[in-house]
Formats: sequence, structure tokens, C-alpha cells
Amino acid sequence: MTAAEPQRSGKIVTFYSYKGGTGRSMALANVAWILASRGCRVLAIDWDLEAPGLHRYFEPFLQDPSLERSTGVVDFVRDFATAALSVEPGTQEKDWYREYSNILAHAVSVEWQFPGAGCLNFVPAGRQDVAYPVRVNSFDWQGFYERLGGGVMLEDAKRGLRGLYDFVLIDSRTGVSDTAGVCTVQMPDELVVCFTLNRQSIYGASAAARSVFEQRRTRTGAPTVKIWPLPTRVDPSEKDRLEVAQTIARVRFTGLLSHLDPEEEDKYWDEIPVPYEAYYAYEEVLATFRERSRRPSSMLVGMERIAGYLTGGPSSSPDVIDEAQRSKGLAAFISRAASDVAEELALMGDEYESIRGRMSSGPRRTELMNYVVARTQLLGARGGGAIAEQFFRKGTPGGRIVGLALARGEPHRNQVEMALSGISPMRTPFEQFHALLLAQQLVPLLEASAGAQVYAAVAAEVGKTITELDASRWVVARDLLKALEGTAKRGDRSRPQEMLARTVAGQRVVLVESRPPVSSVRYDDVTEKHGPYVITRGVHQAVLPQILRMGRHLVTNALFGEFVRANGYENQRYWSKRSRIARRCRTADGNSLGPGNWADATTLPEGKDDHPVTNISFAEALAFVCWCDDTCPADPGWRWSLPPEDHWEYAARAESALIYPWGDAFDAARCNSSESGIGGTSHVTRFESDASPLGCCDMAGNVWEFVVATDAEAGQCVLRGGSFKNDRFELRSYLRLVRIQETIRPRDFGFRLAQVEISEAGLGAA
Amino acid sequence: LLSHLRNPVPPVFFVSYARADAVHPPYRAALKEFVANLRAAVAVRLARADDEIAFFDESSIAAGEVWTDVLVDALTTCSVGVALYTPNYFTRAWCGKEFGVFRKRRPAQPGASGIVPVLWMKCTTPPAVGDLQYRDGTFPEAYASVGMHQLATLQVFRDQYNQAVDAVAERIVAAVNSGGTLGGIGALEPEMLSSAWDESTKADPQSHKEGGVSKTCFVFVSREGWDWKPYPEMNWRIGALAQHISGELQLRYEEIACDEGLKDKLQETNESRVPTVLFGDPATLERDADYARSMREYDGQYLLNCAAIVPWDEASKLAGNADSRWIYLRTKVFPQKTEAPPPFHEWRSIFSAEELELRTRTTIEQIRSRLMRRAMSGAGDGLSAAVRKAEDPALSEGAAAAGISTELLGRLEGPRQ
Repeated sequence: MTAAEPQRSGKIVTFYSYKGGTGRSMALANVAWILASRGCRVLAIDWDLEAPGLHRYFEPFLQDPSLERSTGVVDFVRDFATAALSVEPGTQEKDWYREYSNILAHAVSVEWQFPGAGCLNFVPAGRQDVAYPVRVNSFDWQGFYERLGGGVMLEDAKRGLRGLYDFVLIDSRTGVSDTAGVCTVQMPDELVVCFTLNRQSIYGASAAARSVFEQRRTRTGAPTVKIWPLPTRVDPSEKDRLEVAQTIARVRFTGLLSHLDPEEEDKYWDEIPVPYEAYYAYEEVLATFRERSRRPSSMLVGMERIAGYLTGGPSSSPDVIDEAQRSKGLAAFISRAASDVAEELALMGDEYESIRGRMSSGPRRTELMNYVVARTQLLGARGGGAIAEQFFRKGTPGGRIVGLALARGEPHRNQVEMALSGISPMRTPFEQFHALLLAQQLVPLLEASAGAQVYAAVAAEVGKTITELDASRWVVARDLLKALEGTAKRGDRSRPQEMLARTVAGQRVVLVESRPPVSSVRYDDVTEKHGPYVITRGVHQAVLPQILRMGRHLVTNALFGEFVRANGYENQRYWSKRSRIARRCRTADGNSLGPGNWADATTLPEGKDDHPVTNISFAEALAFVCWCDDTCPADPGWRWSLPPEDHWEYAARAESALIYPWGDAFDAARCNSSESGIGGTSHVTRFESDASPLGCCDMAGNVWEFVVATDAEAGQCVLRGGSFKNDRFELRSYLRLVRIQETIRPRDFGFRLAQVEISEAGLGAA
Repeated sequence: LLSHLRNPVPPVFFVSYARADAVHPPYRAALKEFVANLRAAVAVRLARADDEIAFFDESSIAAGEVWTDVLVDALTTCSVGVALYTPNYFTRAWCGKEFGVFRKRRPAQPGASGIVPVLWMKCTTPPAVGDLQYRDGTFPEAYASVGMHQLATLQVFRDQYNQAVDAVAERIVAAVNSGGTLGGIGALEPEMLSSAWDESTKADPQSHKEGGVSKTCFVFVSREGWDWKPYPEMNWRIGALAQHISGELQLRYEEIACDEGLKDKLQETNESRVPTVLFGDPATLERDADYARSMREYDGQYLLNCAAIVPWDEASKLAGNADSRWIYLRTKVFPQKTEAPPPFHEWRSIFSAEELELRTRTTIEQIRSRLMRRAMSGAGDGLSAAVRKAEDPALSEGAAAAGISTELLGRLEGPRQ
């Protein structure tokens, strides 16, 4: 790598095009990235104030991607003008403008680890808010120069930038506007002129370049700006025409490449044209991340060549990007694209509603609406399923249709609840039809109880809202019923469990004992996020013991009270390195030690003896487990533990990867969620009949449960199962609450006990 | 939760900053980083434990503006006040109050202020802090032109950032070592404090003329004044909204009282090119003759720098032109300007809190732009405000040698037709 030594006398290069659509911003962004990757300090400036767009290429790496806060070029010149115009009489300082000549007051950092001293900073056009057009359109560039001395200020700005960066790349406005004049005549040391190979574009570009070239001469006539013509979007398929067009371009730029000798110039024209690649016409993605192979005719290699000319020679070794870095960057672009798609999908919903509202029902309307569904599926083909629910939950007719269409595109997500909701008699026939189609696709995935629910839902409508009069729905409904009869007969997979009763400090603790038939289960979980903390583990393997022992119920206030009474908080042995934490675990009176919602160490919350203990932290749960081992040792070969996360997950989901302990469809009557309206903890035996396949209660709802996670960072912990505060979407068995400080004590955190075989030591050592 | 705790040792310095500047997570992170760096730099120089150095309240404004005991305690016992200047800092009453306490605790040592200002984000400073310099020769040059936040976040400024942090630390240490620390103060009633920004404008009857296009003046034509809430569902009182918008637009804020002096003051703001916005409360204007008179007088003036904004509710919108209050206002209170409305008068276009905020923002930018444009083009508007010009013969000469004119806008030529 050439890792150019910081030159500290950087170059200012303006990228200009006479017409739009030449890929100018794209070229600038790519060159900027390539130079930074070669260890240069680079600043990119979006000076195309009327149509800013450079940020699209850096967006995934900006901290304020939508530019709601970041100021920019407009603010730079306006701040200077404001200072010039709001002078107080008597304060005449000669160098007053120096404070306003640093455009870096408006620069942001592009967050990426470049090698060596390499870095990329970016000055946007200006804050993109309602008043942006006012700020841009009203600025008087002529007055800026003639009355305020803006030209002097910009010279000072150039001097400052050259001292800090190796390259300053300016994206200029097109045409012959005022701002294009500033960018091309005053600012640059070198000028990259982009054009496509048609006469209009060539004439405009060469005339503008020539006009700069003629103005920028020393008194003896030597040129002071280097011109780099850059033909872009070159389509090599029409060879003859291409040659003619290239000849025209060369001849129109005659004399402007005087910085190259004739041989170099010939080589330059030969190798510089940037090929047209359809992909880049549709997506703003940096070539570095997009391209894996290095074909000589690729966009990336073309961009590296330009960068080579600007650095005064090609890179001595090819630029190689670390594969992990590359895929990280590409992922950032894809996630940006995903948010664009979400916006477009929302518009699809609006379009659906508009068709519904403006046409009367009939086959033509249905056809158009089906066409919306088809386009929705096309648009959401890559990853749209992940947001299907989000749309469906909006509850608008358009949102529901979009949601159903997306869910159908990714049946493995098993969004049976959507199908059930859509089949209900409250819905429009069109929605019902698409809900039936979704259900049909899910049939092979449905577990018994969900299958039975779909069966019942469809059967209830057949003959009522679904009749032979509408053949399309009638046929699908009948097929569904036939297919589901089979499913229902598969029978339930509950298997006999062993219940072990143990006594801890006089209190009964029931453990479920199970022998998993396999040593590990693979859960192909979808990626799903509810805010930054509630996420899935994605596709993962749960490792299972030969014998699994899991508490049937949550640990109650009464049981935890025994620990408090036994002075568990004071006994250092239970806290190991955490005794500092122990001293801060106060009850509500602020003096005694115990759960935060207890009035004091001896007063349990009234009427809640058999509710789960809450307002305790992970650290307290661990200390409690140590105390159990001390007062009531487990069977030989076993010890008490918090549930290892894999064990917990298996106890909740079994092999069939249930979404809720009782099945895949939510039922508000079967757990303590926000839908139940309980609004607090509930008795630990209240939902015994809704236990998980292994017989554990409250695996969904009531309180979040501490588990032992293998991937938790020091000082943090993981919880599972959701609480009374969470809704149906957040208490799904595949979700986990992560990155929680092990000292915080919310009113919906609790835990259950488990036992692990001592040979598995290490798992529970946290 | 911690309000019953006292700081065991008075902090060396207290960080006074606008909570609005710490809402955006990356801004918050940069701020915390700076305080940590400064704390460490001061601790080393004073050979004191790290936790006795700084008081930095991280609670957000979302929790309500609550003066906790810990905060008041630190504010009244710290040795040095560190004020982080930003556009928001000079618009917020909270910051003005903290700054006011520093001022009240004037050090016994003559010439000392006990205050170390830091230019956190670039902004123009109000006269209230005119006697304090935020830089001296020990700061890197870039500090004054980009602000500490930019030094902290741009990699190219790593050295300058360290140098600037050291320079701030040195100032704090110098105050401590030379006895220039803040003085004592009696018991403090936070609710009774007044903002240093308000104090300053009240003390100067000419303050509205100061600042030109770098600030905005507001008049609240309502019996409730600053506290008027145009929409019940709105988070802001009208004054808080005005301060919020000023900060967002990076302008300073000043309130002009709606009293008999208003007419003259508006005339003067026009002469000094200070953008000025009048908010009219329809309920007050209908019922209160004094306020209606102020507005009627304004109706007779023609001022380039002023905008009037009257927010209405949904019910009034439904009533349309038949709304009796609207009929009253347009016939009795501002008949001239409704007859032939000049630009920037939102008499009857705002019917929701959201519109109010958006239009106010845009209107201020439009007025500013118009004032700037006129001044920059040298239009003969007979206004006295001075204009200064950037001049440097050496720079111009150097540019000319490369074919660049610093006097004229460079012109491109397109293809000949």
C-alpha cells in the first residue's frame, strides 16, 4: 500500500458536470472512499446546494443519516454573512472573518475504520428541514463576493483545508449557475469534468472546462488548474458509435490536458472511460462494498484509476478490502435500502386504499387490488417478511393487506395470527381471501393447537361470509379444511413429565424433570427486534443435557423471604465479588436490605406471598441460588442454578419451537401479558393449565426471568419470557432481553430455579 | 432517588450546559467524553481524586426541569463554573439561571470571574457574557472557528482537541490556585432565580437593537405572555417554543414586552435589522383593549423585519370566515394588513400546533433571508447598520496570481449556441 505520507498540502478537486445524470456524485463518493482507504485524509463537500445527494453514499456511516441536525455549506456561508452584517459599531477587528472561514465547523465524520491515518469527513449541503429551500434560494452570491469579501474568506478556507487534508473533494452544481462558478473557478486545484457520450453533454462539459482553464492562468499564462475529463456511463456494446463519440470528446477537450505529455494523454483517454453498470443506476452503493471480483472493466477498477491519476500515479499494490469489513459495509447499505423499501411499502398500502375508495366493487377493482398485492410481494421479496407484522399491526386496511402479502412471501415466519385475524367476519372479502391464502401456505408448519384454531376460524365462516357465490374464497376455504383435518389428527405431543418436589428452607419447590430425546435442537429463528434490547438469537443451536431440571414455578416472595431472613444479603459467601452490590440492595425504607418493593426486610408486599419476587437484580438472584445450595443442597451430583438459557428455551418451546408455551397463536386468557389487564404480577400457579410442553408455568408473561447466558458481557445479563408489561409480540418464546445491567431492579424482573448436573459446571458459573 | 444525598466534597467545577444539546445520542456521547477528559486533565494538575473534580448532571430535561438538591448543592459550592456555549445555551432560561448563580458568586479577587467559558458549538454570544473570553493564546486556532465539539469529533483535529482540553484545564486550575474561585452564596431558592439572559436584556433598554440578523426578537401579544399555551396538547408554552426554535435555527432569543413602548421598539428593530416575530392570542385580542391597541398600532406600521403569527383552533377553522372572533380581529384589530396582507403575516393560516412550529421556523428564515439579501446587495434601504468586509491584500494577491478574483463571483461559460 502506498499509504501516502500525509502531505499537509492537500489538493482541492472539484467534480463538475454540465448536465445531470452523469454519475458525478457517485464518482466523487467512490474516489473519496478509495483515497481514504489508501491512508489519505479526505474531506468530501456537497456543494450541489439545489439538489444535494452526496450524503446518500455515506448515509449508512453517518450518525445523523437524515441530516436533520447536521449543518453544512449553506450554513457556512450564511454564518459568515451574518457575522459580516451584524457587526456592532466600534468593533473592527482586521481578521474578524477568520473565525468564520473554517467549513469544518459543519463537518461530520464518516464512521469507518480506514487504514493508517486515513479518514473521511463530510460537509453536507445543509440541514434538511422545511426552511432549507429558503436558505439556499435567498443567498446572494454576488453580494457575498462584492459587498462582504466572500472571495477572501474562501481563499482563507482553502488554505486551512489544505493544511489538514490530503484531498478535499467538492461536488459541484451543474450548469453555469452561481454556485457552479464558485466551485469550479475559485475553489479547485484540479477539476474532474464528468460527461456522458452525447454531443450536448460533451459540448457543455468541454466549454465549461475551457472557460475555467482560460480564467485560471498565471500572469505569464501558465495554467493553474488541471482538467480531468471523465466520460461516464459508457456502454461498450455499440462499438462504432462509441468510437465516434470518444473521438468527439477528445477533440473537444484538445489543449486542456496540457499537464500530460501526448503519450500519457493518449493512454489516459484509452483507459479512463467509466463503464455503464445497470446496478449503479438503481442503487446508491459504493463500489468498494458492492464488488467482489476485480474485473478490469468494473466500476470499482475504473474508480481506482481516477483515484490513481489524482494521487499522481496508480496505487503500487491493488487496493484490497478485508472481506469482513466489506460485508459489514454492504450490510449497512442493505439496511438503508430496507428502510427505503419500508417507506415504499407504506405507499403501496395507501395505493390499495385509494383504489378501494375511488372504485366501486367489481372484478376490475379486484384485479387492480390483486396487482397491488403482487407488486408488494415483488418489492418485499428480500426480507419484507420481517416487517409484515409491523404493517399489519397498523390496523389500516392498506397496512393489513401489505402485511398479509409480505407474510405470504416468507411462510417460514409462521405468522398464523395474521391469518386468523384476516379470516374473521369483520374483514373485507378481499382481505379474507388473502388471509385464507396465507393460512393455506402455513398448513405444513402449524402445530396442533394452531391448526385447530385455523380450522375453527374457517369452519365458522363457511356458509356465512364464505359461500359458493364467491368461488375464489370458497375453493381455498374448502381445501384448507381438508388439509387441516389431517393436522388435527396428528395429536398433541405432550409427553409425561416427572415432577420432583424439593424443600428449601421449609418451602416446597417443584422441579420438572425431562429427558430430551436429542442432545441439541436447532431453532431457525427469524431476526426480529423490539427496540434495542428485545431481540432474537437468530438461527442457533440449543445444547441440551441428558436430564433437564427446571423449576415449575417462579420463585415467590415467600421463598425469597427465607433468604432475606437468613441474612443472605449480609453473608459475603453468597456474593463473592459482588458484596459491594449487596449493600446497595435496599428495600423501600432505604435502610434495610431486600427487594426494592418490600416496605422493609420483614414486610412482604401485601397479599403477594405467592407472587413472583420482583425488584431484584441478577446479582441478588445469583446470591439466592448460592444460599439454596448452602441451606438445602441439591441431590448428589446436582447443584442449584439459574436456568441456563438453552435449558430455559427448550423448556418453553420444546422441539417444535412453539411461539407461546401453549402453541403458536396468542391467547390473552392464557398468560399474564399487558393484554390480560392484570397490570402487575400474578399468583405463580394461576396459569398452571397453560404450562409449556415440559410443564413449566409463566414461561410467557408475569415477569422477565433471569437466565444464564453464554454470551452476556461482564456486568450484564439476559432475561427471557416477557412480563405483565409486555404485549403479545414481546413475550414470544424466541425473544430475549439483552444488555441489562446486573444491578438494576425493575418491578417486572424475577426468576425461577433450576438444577444442573455438576459435570456441567461452568455453565452456571456466570 | 439520590436527592437526599449531598456531594461529600464540593466539586472543583460545575458543568453548565443546555440539555437540548445532549438529546441526540452522538452529541451526548461527545459531551460526556469531553467532561471525562477535562475531569482527568484537572485531576492530574491538582493531584486530587477523580470523583472530587466535576459536577455534571446527566439527567435529561424529559424528566421535567427539576432542581435537585444535589444539583443546587454543587452549583452553590463549586469553585469554578464551566459554561458550554452553544446556540441553545443562550436561549434557555435554565442555563441562564445557572449562569446567573455563577455571576452572583462573584469572586472576591478583583478581575476574576470564576467562570471558564467553553465554545462547545459555534455561536454568537450575547452581551451578557461580553466580558468573558472563551479563548486565549494557549488554544489552537481552530478552536474558535469550529468549536470544541468539532475538535472532539473530527479525527483530523485530535492534536488540537487535546491542546484545547489542556487549555481549559489550565484555566480552571489557574482560578483554583490563584484564589479566583467563585464566592459564597446564601440559601438558594431555585424557583426564585432569574435567568442571566433576561437580566441582561432588562438592564439594557437598547438591547433589542443589538445583534442584527444573528438573533430574533419575540413579542407575545397575550395576557399570559411567555406562559401562553396556544394549543392545550402542545408541549411548549409560547415562550419555550420561541426559545426552542431560536436555538434550532442557531439564533439568539430576546423577548420584547408588549407594552406602550412596543411601537417604537419595533421601529428600532427594523432599523437595526433584527428579525422580529409577534404572536397574537385571538382570545386576548378580542377581550383586552390594551393588547388590541398594540396590535392596531402595529397594523399601521410597515416594517420589513416583522412577522405576525396568529394561531387558531380547529373549531375556528370549521367556522371559516363566519368565525366571530376572526371577524372582530380582521375588522377592528388589524384591518389594514388583512385587507392587503404583506408577506410573512400568518393571520389566518395556522390551525394546529404542528403548523405553528413549522410556519414560525420558515417565517423567521424568510425574514432573515430578506434582511440579509437587502443588506448584501447594498440596496438603498437607508438603514444604518454597518457591514464589514473580509479583506486581506496578501491573500487576494496570491489568488490573483493563480487567476482567481476574490472580488468577483467566478463565471462559467457554457457552449456557444
